[in-house]
Amino acid sequence: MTDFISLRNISKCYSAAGRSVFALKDLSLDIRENEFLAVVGRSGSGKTTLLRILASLEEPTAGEMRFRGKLCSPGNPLPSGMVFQDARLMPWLSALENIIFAFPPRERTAELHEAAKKMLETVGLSGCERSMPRELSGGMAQRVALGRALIKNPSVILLDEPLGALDYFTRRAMQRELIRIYLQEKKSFIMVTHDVGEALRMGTRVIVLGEGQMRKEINVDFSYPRPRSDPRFQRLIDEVLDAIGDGE
Amino acid sequence: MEKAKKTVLKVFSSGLIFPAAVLLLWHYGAAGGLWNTFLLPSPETVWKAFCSALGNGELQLHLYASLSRIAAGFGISALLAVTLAFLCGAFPSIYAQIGGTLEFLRHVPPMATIPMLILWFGIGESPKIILIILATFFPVFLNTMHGIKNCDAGLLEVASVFGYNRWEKCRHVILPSALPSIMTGLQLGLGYSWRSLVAAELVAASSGLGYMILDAEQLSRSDVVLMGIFVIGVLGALLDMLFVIISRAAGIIR
Ligand SMILES: Nc1ncnc2c1ncn2[C@@H]1O[C@H](COP(=O)(O)OP(=O)(O)O)[C@@H](O)[C@H]1O
Ligand SMILES: [Mg+2]
Repeated sequence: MTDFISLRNISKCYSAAGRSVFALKDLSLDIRENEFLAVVGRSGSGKTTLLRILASLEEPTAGEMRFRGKLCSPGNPLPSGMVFQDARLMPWLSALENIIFAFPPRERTAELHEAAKKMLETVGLSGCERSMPRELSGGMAQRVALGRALIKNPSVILLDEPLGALDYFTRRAMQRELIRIYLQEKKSFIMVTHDVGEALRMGTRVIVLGEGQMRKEINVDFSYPRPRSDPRFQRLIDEVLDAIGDGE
Repeated sequence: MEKAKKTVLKVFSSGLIFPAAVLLLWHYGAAGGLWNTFLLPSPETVWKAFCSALGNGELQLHLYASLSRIAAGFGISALLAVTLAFLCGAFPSIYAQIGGTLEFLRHVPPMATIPMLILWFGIGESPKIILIILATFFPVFLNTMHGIKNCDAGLLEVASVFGYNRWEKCRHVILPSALPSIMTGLQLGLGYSWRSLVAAELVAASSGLGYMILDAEQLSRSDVVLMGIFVIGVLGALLDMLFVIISRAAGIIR
């Protein structure tokens, strides 16, 4: 039991075209402080829905979410920062301005400009202050999106397949970058991915979702970087694949 | 040799050949008596009419009258159309109420309302300004609506996550992303308003470029009529260019 973030008996039912679909079914989950939780599962298993509920973009049909013991509601959302699969930068704002966008104008302080510059450095983009989103590669755009989520100093960073659209090499580099930032920032990261190797390379804990329920939970307690050649690593990959039901 | 080739190419791509040819044909045709110069006076006569109207200040007077009507009508209409489009975007129930009426009005050529406008408002400034408002409203309104509807829902979600309220989302997400469409609408609207204004002045006015043409017609001054047509065309093009410059500057509100 932790009193950081707790989800209790969360269900989410979508109804579309007269049919209702349970994206999450009675899911209970505790999120620990400073953990890197990787969420894997087939497409349609409810991973995005879980993140959207954590970000208060969606209200659960049933169940409750608590942050440090207090019930979360639309008026009292979890302090989170979200990174979407498509970076979702404002195309008319520069990289620096996109990071500043994290604060509505009424919340902007005199120091924000400097802080945003520092944040660009943190995500490895110093010198790109004035670049426009159309000039950024996919990996760079995701770095800006991550900086935009981090600058509000939320308690938890939510990442929905943030590296899904990147090519293999950029993806590997971004995995290392994300781990570096995770170790530096000391926050909880919750990352959805459909790449089992990625989940095990990055997560301190991996959970497997299937049809809106938790199928498996694995604590991964090796230190970074994690070599693929490690036999324990391969065993874990098999375990996760089994839980997903990779039918072989 | 290469140089000569380049010069020829430049001349061809400059876009000067066609207008120059028309002007020359016009000049020599009129001088050589190819047609009755009362029906189509020579370019020199038109130019003289331009100089004399400029000299006695008449042209400036009419220009001023026309341009101030545009300023008033276009300004009011643009403000009205953009505001209404944003209201309709924010409150779908408003659009549900007035959408049908707007669709009806959209298909009525503004010119067709002139008799009623004169009946209600006389031949003072108001019917002309109202006509401009009618002509400008729809391109601005429809393009703004289009821009608002096409705003990326994903970007709006980002703003929600970061705690932007309804107004802040309008100002910092919807407005900047709809800005190119709004500008297109304004540019179209400006063209429409210019054309409908001249038409209104042809029907009922005592000043303005349209009136100047009508007056010249009654005095059988085809040179002044032609001069008026040129002034209208050139001024319309200038307004359009001015607008392009303004719309570049409008980027700063993003
Ligand atoms: N807005 C929605 N309306 C209707 N059904 C939805 C909606 N969002 C998700 N779903 C359904 O909920 C299930 C889980 O979706 P999602 O959480 O996006 O899965 P994942 O991210 O794991 O691919 C899917 O069956 C999907 O079709
Ligand atoms: Mg998803």
